Formats: sequence, C-alpha cells, structure tokens
Amino acid sequence: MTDLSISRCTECGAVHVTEPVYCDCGSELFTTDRIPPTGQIDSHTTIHVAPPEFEAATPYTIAVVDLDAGPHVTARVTNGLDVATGDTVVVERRNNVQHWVAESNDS
Amino acid sequence: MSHSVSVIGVGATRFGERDPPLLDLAAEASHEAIEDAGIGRDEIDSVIIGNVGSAVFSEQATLSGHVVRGLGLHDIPAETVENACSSSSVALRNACTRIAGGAADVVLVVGVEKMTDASTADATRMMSSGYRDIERSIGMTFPGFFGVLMRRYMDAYDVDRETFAQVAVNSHANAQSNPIAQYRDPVTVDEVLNSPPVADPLRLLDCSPMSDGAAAVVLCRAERATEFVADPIDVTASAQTSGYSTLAELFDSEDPTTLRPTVTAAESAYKQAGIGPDAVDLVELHDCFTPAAFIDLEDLGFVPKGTAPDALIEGQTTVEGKIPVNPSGGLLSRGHPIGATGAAQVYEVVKQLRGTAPSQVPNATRAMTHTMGGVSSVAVVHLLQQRGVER
Repeated sequence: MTDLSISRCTECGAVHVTEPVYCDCGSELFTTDRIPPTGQIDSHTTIHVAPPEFEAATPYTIAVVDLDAGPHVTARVTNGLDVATGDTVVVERRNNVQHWVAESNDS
Repeated sequence: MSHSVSVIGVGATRFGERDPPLLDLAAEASHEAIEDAGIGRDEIDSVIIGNVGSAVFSEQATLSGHVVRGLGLHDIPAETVENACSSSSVALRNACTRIAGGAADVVLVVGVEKMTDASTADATRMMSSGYRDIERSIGMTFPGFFGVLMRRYMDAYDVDRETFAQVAVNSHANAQSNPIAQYRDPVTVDEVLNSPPVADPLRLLDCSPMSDGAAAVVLCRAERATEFVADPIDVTASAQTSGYSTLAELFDSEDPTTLRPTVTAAESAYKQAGIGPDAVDLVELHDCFTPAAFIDLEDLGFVPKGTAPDALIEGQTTVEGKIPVNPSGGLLSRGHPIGATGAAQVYEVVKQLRGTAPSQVPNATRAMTHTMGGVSSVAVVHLLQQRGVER
C-alpha cells in the first residue's frame, strides 16, 4: 500500500489531485503531500462501450472513490465487476500517466 | 450601449444517419433559416458556427469559411465555437452579445455535426477527449459520467430503474410527430430495460444516439426585427457558466446530483428576464441520458431536488402538463448531433412560440432552452418569448 501523492494549498489546505495554477482561495503556493490511498466507493459504472484502446478490456468498472483523506478520485476497479457503493478500496497510482486503479479490499 | 435581440428565422435538417456531407447539412439548415427570416443573405453581418468534432468525425475543419462561401458571402466575420455539447448554444449567446454590443445587426448561427461516419468506438473516443487526461486515461466514457450520476441519484432518492426508462418512453412519444426527429417509433419500458448495456446502469435506449444534422437560427437587433418578420421571437435572457474539470471534482461538491453550472446559468437567466420558473411554458433541456432529464429539471428550478421522477410519473412533463419537457423528443429521440443541439432547441421553441410546432404546447408564450457539456464543464440557458408578452 503506497501513499498517494497530491498537492495541498499552503494557504487554505485544500487538496488537489492535479495541481492548478491558482487554488479557489487565490493562493499559488502548493506543497506535495502524501495521503493514505484508502477510501470508499461513492458511485460506479460498468463500461460496455469503450474507445478502441479499451475495447478489449470491456466490460470494466470505474468508480468514484471518496478518499479517507478528503478528495475524490476516479479510478478503474481492477479486480472484478462486483463492487458496491460503500465498498472500501485501496487506490494505487500506476505509471507516470495519471492512472488510478482501485483494488477492492474485500475480495 | 445594449440592444435587445430577436430570432427572426430558423431552419433544420432531418436528424439521423444522413448521407449528405457535413457542409451540405449546414447549407440546408442555413438556407431554410434565411428563407424563414425573409432576409436577403447580404443582410447577414456575421456567421457563428457551433461544432465539436468535424476535424475528427468528418476530416473537415475551418467550417466558418466554407459555410460563408457556400452562402455566396465575403468580408464578414465568421468563426466556429467549440464548447462540447453546448457549442451552438454558446454560438447563439455570442450572437446575442455581438448584437447587444452593436457590432452586428443580423447574425446567422449554424450548429452542425456529422457523427455517424465514425465507428461507435471511434466516436466514443472522440467524445472521451472531453475528459481530462487523468480520467480519460483510465477508460472513462461520456455515458460513464451519467452512469455514475444515475447510480448516485438512484441511491440518494430511492428511484427505481423503470422510472428512468420512462423518460425515454416519453421522449420517443413526443418525437413521433416531429419530422426532423431521428427516432419516431414508440418504445416501451421493457425495450429500454432490455436494450444492450452501455455504461451500467445506462442501457442503449437511455442514451441519445449518434446523429448527423444541422440547425440554423437568424438573430437580429430587436428594433429591426419587424422590418423582416411580423412575429419575431424575443430573446429575454442568455446565460452561460463554467463548471467542473473532472468527475471527481464534481463529487467533491456538496451534492453531485446537482450540476452547479446549470443552477447558476438558470439563476442568471431568470434574473435577466425578470421572471421565475413558473412563468416558463415549456423547456427544451439537455437530456443526453435519461438521468440528465431529472437532474436538469431540478437544477433549472422547475421542481425541488429529488422530485423530478415524481413530476414525470404525475404527467407534469408531458406536452399537456404543468411544465412540458422536450416536446421535440429532446436529445434522446430528436437526436444529438452534438454541435447542432443548442440551435435545434431554439428551432423547436421558436416553432412552439409561433404556435406551429408538430407537438404543440397549448398557449406557449415563454420557453427555455438548456444545454450542458463536458463533465458539467459548461451550461447555457436561453429564455425566449413571443413579442408583446408582458415581461
């Protein structure tokens, strides 16, 4: 379980998954912070019709995860389709591209 | 200096899988709108195109120059607006601000898209390009956005699957009399529920189709409108707002079933027109997927949050109901050539306000149009009314 890297505003403390130019509060100063990668599934969908590069993977599930540390992330669920709202998941960031993968704890 | 704005002409092609090239569709709609307005084409001071993906879908870009030449015009400003599914709504708004500011008296807006030349997979990829890299790279799709919102809405307000299907049933019923609509055959709840899955819980018939088509609108400085037509339709509000960049960010908000750009655009529009939702006789709203019809109806202020399914079941949204929704058939059944939709909504409500719509709302004097695009990244609301109606 590796911590996730996020940007935190040094003025208001808001957490950003991708660092903006300005925070909503107006600050331009951010620190890179590490947060635990755990959270709960807030909602999810199973994709059956996909762009060509994802067609071979269909059907696959994408979830919006409410991270315990605050922000939400959108993540591919890698270990099966049988997730439910409220399930606890571990979010993993793979590669340098912004690629989130949620792995359900309870299966 | 601020001038009021009127609509004096509208035109549209039939929507669906169409053979003519993109530019021919744009020309057909433009010609009909110019004829409808009864203007000489040399009255046009400016042309604004709404389009999203012609460079990808049709390998055709720089639409504005081609459309202007197709009308035999030279030496006028013309450009294309891309703002996701709100593209031609923003083109309409730009026409309004251009006229209001005195830079033009007569503006032609043309919304056009030709999506069916691409495969469904390629078109899905094209539309996924509206996502930021962080969500596109995991395989998120546009139906997926509303799949996630639909499940959230079902959980939050305890709405069953059949009620969403009823949205599609109603929209197909409304489209039956609409000669430009893509889907004119009725569907049943069972047919919606048994159509192929797209982005669970969304099924195919919960989704607006891939469509080809164009719609055009001639707008004019209000004081000059009766030079051209006896029955101009006045634009009493034109509002546009921006919203989110990611689906995750929407879920960071207080309530992800409330799409803030729609709320703020509607609030601005009501303020501009000096009316409230009760004064609106019909709405053409952005029902790109069945759950959007509920979310929009609430965000536009017509019913309280979580009660749109009840309004639908009670018959409030039918042509004869308290707040008729999408008498044209909407995006779900008229079709959704994404760059054309905003202009197609104005085409419909102008016919409604003239009393000549195929599925006519009785005594319609004021109407709203609404589009949204991206991950609730943009929303546009217009209010239109018959001339002479008290504000």
